[in-house]
Amino acid sequence: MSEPTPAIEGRAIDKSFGDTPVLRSVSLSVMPGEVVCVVGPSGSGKSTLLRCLNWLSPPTAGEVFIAGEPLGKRRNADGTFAPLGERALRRQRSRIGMVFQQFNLWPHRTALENVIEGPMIVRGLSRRDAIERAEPLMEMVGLADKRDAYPVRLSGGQQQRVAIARALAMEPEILLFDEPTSALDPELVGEVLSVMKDLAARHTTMIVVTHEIGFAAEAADRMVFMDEGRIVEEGPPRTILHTPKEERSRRFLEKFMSRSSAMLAADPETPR
Amino acid sequence: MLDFARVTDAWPQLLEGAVTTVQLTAAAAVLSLVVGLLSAMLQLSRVPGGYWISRVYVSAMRGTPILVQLFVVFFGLPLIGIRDQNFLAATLAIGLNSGAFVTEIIRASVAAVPHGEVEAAESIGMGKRHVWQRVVLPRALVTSLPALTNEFTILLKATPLASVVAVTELTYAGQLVISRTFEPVEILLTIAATYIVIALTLSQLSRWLERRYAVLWAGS
Amino acid sequence: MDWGLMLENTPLLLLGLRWTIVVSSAGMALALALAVGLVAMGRTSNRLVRGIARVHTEIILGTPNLVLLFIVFFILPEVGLVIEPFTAGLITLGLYYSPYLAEVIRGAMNAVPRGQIEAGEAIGLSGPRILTRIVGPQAIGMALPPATGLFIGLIKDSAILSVISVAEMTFQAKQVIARTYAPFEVYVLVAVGYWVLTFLLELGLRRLEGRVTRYRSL
Repeated sequence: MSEPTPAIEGRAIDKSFGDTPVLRSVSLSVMPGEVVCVVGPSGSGKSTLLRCLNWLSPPTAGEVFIAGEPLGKRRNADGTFAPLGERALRRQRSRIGMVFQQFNLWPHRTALENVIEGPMIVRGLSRRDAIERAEPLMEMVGLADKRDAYPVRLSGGQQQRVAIARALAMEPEILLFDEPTSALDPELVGEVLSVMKDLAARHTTMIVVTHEIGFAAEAADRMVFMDEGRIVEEGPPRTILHTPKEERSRRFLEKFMSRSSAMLAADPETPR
Repeated sequence: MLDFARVTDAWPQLLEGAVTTVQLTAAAAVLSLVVGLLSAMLQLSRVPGGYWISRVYVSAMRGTPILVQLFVVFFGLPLIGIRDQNFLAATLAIGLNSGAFVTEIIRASVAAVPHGEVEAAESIGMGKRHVWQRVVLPRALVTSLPALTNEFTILLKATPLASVVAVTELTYAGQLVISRTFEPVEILLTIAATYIVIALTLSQLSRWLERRYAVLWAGS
Repeated sequence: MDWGLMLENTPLLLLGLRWTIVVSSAGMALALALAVGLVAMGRTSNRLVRGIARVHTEIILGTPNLVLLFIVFFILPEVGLVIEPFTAGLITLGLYYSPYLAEVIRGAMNAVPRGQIEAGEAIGLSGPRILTRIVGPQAIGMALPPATGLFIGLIKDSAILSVISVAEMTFQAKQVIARTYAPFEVYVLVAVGYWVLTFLLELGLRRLEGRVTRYRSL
């Protein structure tokens, strides 16, 4: 093959809620091993884009491909698309991991049980095999000692790290993060970001919707700036952050810059 | 086949029964509200033993069938010298039973009155009695309107039990008609429909009350 | 009060208590089955099916249980369905409590946060699996307290079955009164019987609730 296939690709995605358009012809493709951060003001459609990319809310128009395979649709012989069955969609969806803003752990299952649920029920692993696979993940997110705790006993940061392990347990080809630190107390943000940085360093394919510009600057291969349901600008973080071409991204980023000088400190290339 | 002509003949008798049903419902509801309020206040007050008296009353009423309570009252009244007062017995039994549920409703809505409003009343120098009369109770009663309507609908649906002590409310009137005509189907369906209409009227009435006060106080 | 006479007649009342428990349990089981059906009907996209569930609910909510009992007992035979008083009784109790129980189930299911369901969808759990593994276990804990209240209400309402001669406790009380001519005492005794029964039931179900909601405090 002359051109490598993107791990995930959205083509001309439109999404409206009733008469309100939220996404207008958004196209985004992410290569295997690439880390993409999506930033932009609230209401710009970032989270909706993620939810379209794993079909939690199917797009009004447009296609999503995972490793070249159409998501939620079946390609007919004549090149048109037909909706895919429930079961096939579920199988596809399990290839895309999702980490939610509100963690969404299941409170009636322990940390470990949250992680092994998918491997057991969706993949059909025995409990023992699932635990065997889950243990290194609990280790990786630094919660090996909390495996038998119920979510109610975990801090927000710990819950989110369990949620990351839960997503990883499905061995997804792509991980989607929907503002994973927005619901956390400031002092708990770091522990979650550090797990995400580990993942990025291992070349996990990730799309991260975030307000943590510092994280984006450090970990992202590419930054995407969205506003009013469109991708306004994309490119290497350094370019986007320091020489944004578009007026809208400049204004948005200026606000962030002035607010967090910590971000500047995080970027070694910034002239002082 | 259904033949509602028979119902037309029996209409005056059924109507009379329906009027008695409404009277019984109203009398029992008033008793229930008064007893419920008193019992809730007793539970929240510092009257010695008040809490337990109210708890035991609520528990006994909620733990035993209203039909059995009706029999206890009906056969108990003559023991204290009150005879041939079937309507009174039914009102007492149904009202006291419902009062236990009203106690719980009032208690919950009193607990829901924001503490700040009580403090505000105390801070302008209101005494305990006035805080209750002017702030807590009016607020609690309006909050509890939906639950109270619900409770009074249940109360309405308990009134047919009065038929077992020969109060000629709607259901007993219907039974009398049936025993004359031996045609239960049309009569029973008519009776059921009448109850549904009364219940719907009741809920409309409460919705109107609720709108009136809720809108008035929406800003609070 | 002649306690010796009461004592002599207690076995009959206990026999009635047994039938109260039997008919109430059967009625509750039927109510549960109907309620699950109503909830399922309310969730379909078919408007006719949803409409039927709604009409059923509205009719039951407005009809007194005694009237419903007469309808079941007197009208079913008119359309050729001759049934025993016991059967009529349990059908009435089941029918009467089905919409209330359906509302409890609906409320409990809706109380499970949407995000948890999405988390299940995101790892590829099927609809039925999400129901049995995520929504169900939590909904049971939330539904138990109000469902206990309904069960107690149903047990108490089973007393009306005495009107059509189902041999439950209140009916047996009438039999005892016919022999002893002490209605007040017998009914007080029977009231205590119901009180103890409902009290024990509440105690037991509260313990069960504690067990299924342990995850909230552990």
